[in-house]
Amino acid sequence: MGEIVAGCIAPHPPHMVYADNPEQNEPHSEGGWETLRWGYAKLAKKLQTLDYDAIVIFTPHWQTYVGTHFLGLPKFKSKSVDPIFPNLFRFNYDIDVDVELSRAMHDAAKDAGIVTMMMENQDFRIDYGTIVSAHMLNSEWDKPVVPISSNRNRHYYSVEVMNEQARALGRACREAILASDKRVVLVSSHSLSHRHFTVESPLPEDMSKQHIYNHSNYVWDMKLIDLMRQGKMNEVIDLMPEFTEQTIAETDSGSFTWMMEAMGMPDYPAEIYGYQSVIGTGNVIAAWDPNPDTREVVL
Amino acid sequence: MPYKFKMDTEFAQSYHENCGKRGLHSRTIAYDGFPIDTGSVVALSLLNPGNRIPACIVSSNVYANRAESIVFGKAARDTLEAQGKKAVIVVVASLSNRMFTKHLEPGEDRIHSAKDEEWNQKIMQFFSEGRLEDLSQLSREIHGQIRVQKVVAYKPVWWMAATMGQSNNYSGEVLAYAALHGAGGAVIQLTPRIGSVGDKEFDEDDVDIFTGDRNVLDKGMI
Repeated sequence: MGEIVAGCIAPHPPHMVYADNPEQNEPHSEGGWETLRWGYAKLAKKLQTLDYDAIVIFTPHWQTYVGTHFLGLPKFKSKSVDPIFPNLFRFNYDIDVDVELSRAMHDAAKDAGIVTMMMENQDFRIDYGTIVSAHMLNSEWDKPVVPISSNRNRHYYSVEVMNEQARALGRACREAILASDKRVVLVSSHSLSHRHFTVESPLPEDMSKQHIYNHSNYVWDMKLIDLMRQGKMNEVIDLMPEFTEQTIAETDSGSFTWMMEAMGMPDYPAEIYGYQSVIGTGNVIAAWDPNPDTREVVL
Repeated sequence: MPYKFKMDTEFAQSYHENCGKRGLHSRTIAYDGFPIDTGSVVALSLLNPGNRIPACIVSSNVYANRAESIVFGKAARDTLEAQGKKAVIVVVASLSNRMFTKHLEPGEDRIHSAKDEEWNQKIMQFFSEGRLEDLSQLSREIHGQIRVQKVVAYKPVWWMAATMGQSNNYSGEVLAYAALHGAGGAVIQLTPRIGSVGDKEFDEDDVDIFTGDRNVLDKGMI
């Protein structure tokens, strides 16, 4: 029987990879955003202690308008250049996909009445959200990934509809995982508040220029993190429409709601690994560990 | 889809510099592997096969609203005038943009709703009469009525109108119109002419230099 061994919020500003200077990324930096990167390093170290087979990532930067899409080929290799920050992110990726698990989740979602599709075009370009989150959590790339697209229910309907659809998808994915023999880590790839600055420092990693876009976004971010610390995840999901509207949050993708539903809506505290602004956006690294024996109070 | 395009980098660099002169923040992109967007690939492949005319592709600034879009168009016009170039202005956009959210066979395709269809017909009537500036003035209304709110405004027509001189002095022709998975797709051409039509009051600000958000709430006017 399969198992979800952890769920993580893994924000994907390309600045994380840029600041880390991995050999796969062309640009070189002098560092930056250490609060987030060190938080990522600590969470990555924890994941190394867990026994798991695959990382399932719900990504806001694979946006689909006709249903939810899953990757259906075992390997993708190319270069990803971020269309927004091409100066920071030109990453040569070589990704293994757990197609068996991907198809199982696709089939379960389809059986639940969700519009779905398997992406089986070898030229398909993996989005930078998937790459950044996966790299920061597992820079060895020694686990296969299963990216899931973000169906833009928010654009076509509302955040409330997004919440409902994401919960339905979360239930279907949970069923598929439990019915498999896989142990998986779920990843929700997104920032919290998501208003960007519209200008960039001459030196992108100039930390003297980094701060949250406005105080309202900061207070909202802290409100959510506080509820996460208390394990009040039902309350967080109930607040999601208001939070998303007020802070232009990247939770509009449905990824966080999907992950919480797939994890059975945790009522235990989240592990908080760090919070920091990147170009005005609010980013938290957090994890939910269903096992009380390994669950930590990090921050 | 494989593609290979020829860019007018001299124009792009000058356009970038003229944006700066008008208060806009911009940058040029020259990276191997940069993902050219689907819209540009489709439009350039169909309109300019063989790369007979070099192109300049500009992005859509997510946060830009009317003032920045109008100034952005004027910076393009500045560049054309300074370089003495004759250009074709291309906007890659649908009319109504609500698509069906389920899979659809091509034979089953249709405009998503009667309301979208009515608005599309009205927009095409304006275009066919050459009333580009009238459409620019109506842009916010169009966005509210038939555009799924993916971005803050229906910007293409603002940029196009500003680049083409902010008038109704065109001959318009709708060459094709069809449903695109529920959205309204039209191929339309406008060519300059003498004389103007239209009865709309041009009541939107005409901005020449972008000086940032006005932040009226910070001024303590209450």
